[in-house]
Amino acid sequence: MTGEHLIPLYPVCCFHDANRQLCSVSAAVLGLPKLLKDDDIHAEYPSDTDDEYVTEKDSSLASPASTRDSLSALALFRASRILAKVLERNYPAATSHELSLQQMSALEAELDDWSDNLPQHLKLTFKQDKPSTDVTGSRSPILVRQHTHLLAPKGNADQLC
Amino acid sequence: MIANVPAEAFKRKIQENGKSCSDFNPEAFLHIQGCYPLTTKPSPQNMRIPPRLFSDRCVNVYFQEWAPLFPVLHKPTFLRVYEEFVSDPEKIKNNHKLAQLYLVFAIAALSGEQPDLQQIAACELQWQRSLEAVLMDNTMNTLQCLVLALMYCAIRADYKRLQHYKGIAVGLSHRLGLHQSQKRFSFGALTIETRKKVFWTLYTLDW
Repeated sequence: MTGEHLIPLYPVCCFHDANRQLCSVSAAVLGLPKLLKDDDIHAEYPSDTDDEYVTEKDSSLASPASTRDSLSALALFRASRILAKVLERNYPAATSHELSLQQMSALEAELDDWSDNLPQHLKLTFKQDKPSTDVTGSRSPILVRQHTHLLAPKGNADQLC
Repeated sequence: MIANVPAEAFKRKIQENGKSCSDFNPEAFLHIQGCYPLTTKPSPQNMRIPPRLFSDRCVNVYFQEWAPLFPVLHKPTFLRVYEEFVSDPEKIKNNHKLAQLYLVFAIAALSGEQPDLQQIAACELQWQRSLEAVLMDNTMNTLQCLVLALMYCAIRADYKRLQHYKGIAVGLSHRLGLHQSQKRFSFGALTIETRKKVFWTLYTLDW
């Protein structure tokens, strides 16, 4: 399978807010490789502690789990790592490349695993392929679902956002 | 990916499918696009310091909608700078502080429902001027300003500026050692957490 059979990638990072959409990703939109190389990265993720509770001496004070904004950021960072792999393997900068169905299935499995392990307050439920209307003010980034659907036949992608 | 397909081959493919593409400019995809200015009228001088109502709302919106997913600023630290600003806006001369303030205003305002384009254009002018002054510094403060600038440029779809700032930001991030395991450094907890947050926010904005 070669690259021509995939529809172009239109990544959208949606705040689940009726009034706004943000296209906030640069490499995929510009068709250029990422600048940060995953192999060089050994930085740890930040802790899931909100700003107010971190001082120079100590970041061990915990805020109530249900209000942790930091969990939203962590979810996004983890999703970005998986999607960076999608970008690198399925849309490399080289002019010709081969794609493997196995690789794509493995990536989709990683995305599903990420989605399944989201904390409850970040989960976004879907009804008939659309976000369910009982979700308000959720910051769950639904960009992951966008991308898994974008790898599917074009008809599905049109129904989203 | 569109960027990898020669322009003529792409046009031919569209024509083969029976569609007209006389208005289609493949060059638009192949070259990084800048964007139109927010307003054609120059902002009046009195718009330089935004009204309190505007800036208060922007700060609230920023920390409610943006900071949770893009934790580039330490909220208590920023709020202290903002307090300094509202008590005497003219007194703040530090370019890092000015860049961060006006970037936060601009990001929040631009993403709102009825953006005041004139006001945002004035903020844009301010932050660009301040950022330019500190662009060559090898500091976390500069990197934080750059990451905020990436967020702004992404919303504006100013991809020329985005790509320019991103190159500088990633280089700076490497020089500061943010991509390395932070265990090797003996910084305080807040510094380490900030370094990680800034790095991973930049990573998210990179792809």
